[in-house]
Amino acid sequence: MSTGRRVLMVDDDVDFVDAVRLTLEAAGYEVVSANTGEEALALVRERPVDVAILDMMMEEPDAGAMVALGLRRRPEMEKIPVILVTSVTEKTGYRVETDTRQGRKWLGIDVWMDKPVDPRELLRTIERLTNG
Amino acid sequence: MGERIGRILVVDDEFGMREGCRRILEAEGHTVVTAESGEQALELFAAGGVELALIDLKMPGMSGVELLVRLREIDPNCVYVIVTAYATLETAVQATKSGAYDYVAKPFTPEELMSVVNKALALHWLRLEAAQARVEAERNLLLVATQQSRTRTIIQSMADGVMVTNREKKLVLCNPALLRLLGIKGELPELGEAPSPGLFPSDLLELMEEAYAKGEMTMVARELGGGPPNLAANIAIIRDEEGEPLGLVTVVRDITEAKSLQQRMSDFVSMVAHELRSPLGAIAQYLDVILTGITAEQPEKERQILSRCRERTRALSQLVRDLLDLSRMQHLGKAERTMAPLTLGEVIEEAVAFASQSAAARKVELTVELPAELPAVDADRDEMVRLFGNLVDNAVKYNREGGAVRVEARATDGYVAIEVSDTGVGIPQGAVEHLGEAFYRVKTAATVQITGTGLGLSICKQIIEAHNGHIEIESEEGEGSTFRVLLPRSGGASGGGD
Repeated sequence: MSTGRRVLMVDDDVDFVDAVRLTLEAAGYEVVSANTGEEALALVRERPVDVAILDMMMEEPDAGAMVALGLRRRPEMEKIPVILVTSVTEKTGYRVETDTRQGRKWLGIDVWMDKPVDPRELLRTIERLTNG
Repeated sequence: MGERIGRILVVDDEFGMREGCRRILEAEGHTVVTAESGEQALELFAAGGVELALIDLKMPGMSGVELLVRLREIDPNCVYVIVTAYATLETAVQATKSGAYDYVAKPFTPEELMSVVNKALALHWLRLEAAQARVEAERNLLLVATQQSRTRTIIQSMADGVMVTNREKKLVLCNPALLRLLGIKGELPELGEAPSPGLFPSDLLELMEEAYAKGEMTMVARELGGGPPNLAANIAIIRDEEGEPLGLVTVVRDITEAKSLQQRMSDFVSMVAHELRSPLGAIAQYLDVILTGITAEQPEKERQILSRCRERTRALSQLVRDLLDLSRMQHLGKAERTMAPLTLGEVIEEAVAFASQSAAARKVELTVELPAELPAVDADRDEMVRLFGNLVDNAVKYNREGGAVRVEARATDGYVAIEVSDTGVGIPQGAVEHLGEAFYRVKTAATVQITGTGLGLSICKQIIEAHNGHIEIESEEGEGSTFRVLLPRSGGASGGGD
């Protein structure tokens, strides 16, 4: 029941990555993961992905947004769905004004989700974005 | 005036004269003492209280003039009147030159005597009142001067800036602190002129205008923009007895410290929130996976997830414990620590033994090298266990598999030096200076798998500072780190402690 889609999961919390990986793999996605933004960008240079799930605050408070912008600069990933996950404290602590349609567009993000992410909602969101 | 009663001394060698005077004066209500010679007069006078002395000029023994001179030396405020049988101009002049107020010629009528006595007593009382008034005035003047100089000294030495402006909005007073806080140097504001917009910040002048305009308010207060330094101004309106505004007292305070404390506080709270939220997010995410049934067919995986969750909650508990310790240490005074001479060897062995299990799990070799005799340090034992426990634990945690940790202690000049070296991941350039900041954790690919609260070194630093020690950190990324703790030797032998 493979979907044939590759998802990039980037978070500095290995357990969070593991939990999301389990959720996605059970739904038939192939998951590649990284713990830093730099690592993530190196990873997609080898092989592009179809969806990206990024943690906002990693080695830098805006590392997730930097990865999103890095993906968008590559033509093959210019239009892939990008989901940014953050904890509420990060969002309020870090430029809450980016969580607007304009802000999301500017950062190259399609959806902004709070941690923890409801597994079913995550899967529905990916479905919607990849089929839309 | 003549109604007032006096105490009068009559000095005359003639008994008739003495008693005649006594009768006349006592009839008027005065108190009279008499003496028949200069010597006796001096004796009576010494008892004090004489306000007027009637002195016969011509007496055997001590003359009237001689007596007059000696009595005046004793009491210059007493009034002296000469009585003489030779009423010539010369004797009168001679007597007044010697300090007598007036004279009366023998023979005299009771009215003549009373007239002279009344005038003389009136003079005496006038003199006394004048003297009293002078003393009082001097005392008041001194009081005012002291008060003024005290107030001036207080205003000049205040840390807060003070300025007073009058009804015409002209500067009446400003203290050095005001000039310093507002950064006014070189050209100084002129007293008697309005505070010039070139020297004084515009928002302060606006605030003062507001206070002048709203004369009915007693106080306006506001933070001034454009710091640092961050300033706040309080303006009070001075009023006269009728409540009419006389001017303003403006006090400018430096609130930089308070502001930065506020900022540090809010930074700390948001860091704590973040540090709690990350593990909670991971735990919740894992639990969601199980609850959604994704791993229902994989009991092995579920077990693994639950044990990870257990581990993360343990780390959270440790974080809470570290936070409480840190807060306790920051508030702990010297007196509340149990400082006692302590040989660190045993404490170090304890810390190493505690880490041996996790070291074995990571195949990290732990070695301890202690000299036979290690001088004692004055320390709180529990805190020393915590300090070296944290350092050894870090050295094991941030090590590579199959690496080594070496703990060494030795006596140096005035100090005991303890070194904890590892063959671990090392600390990147520029990160060393941040070590010890609360929640600072080096985030690299090599450290991402290592859990920690980011408070361990903060706690170490607190403990070392409380013991008047130092910590030195040397590190090479990918090679390893050395943490060197220097603690002053017991008995105040420390040479370079600060």
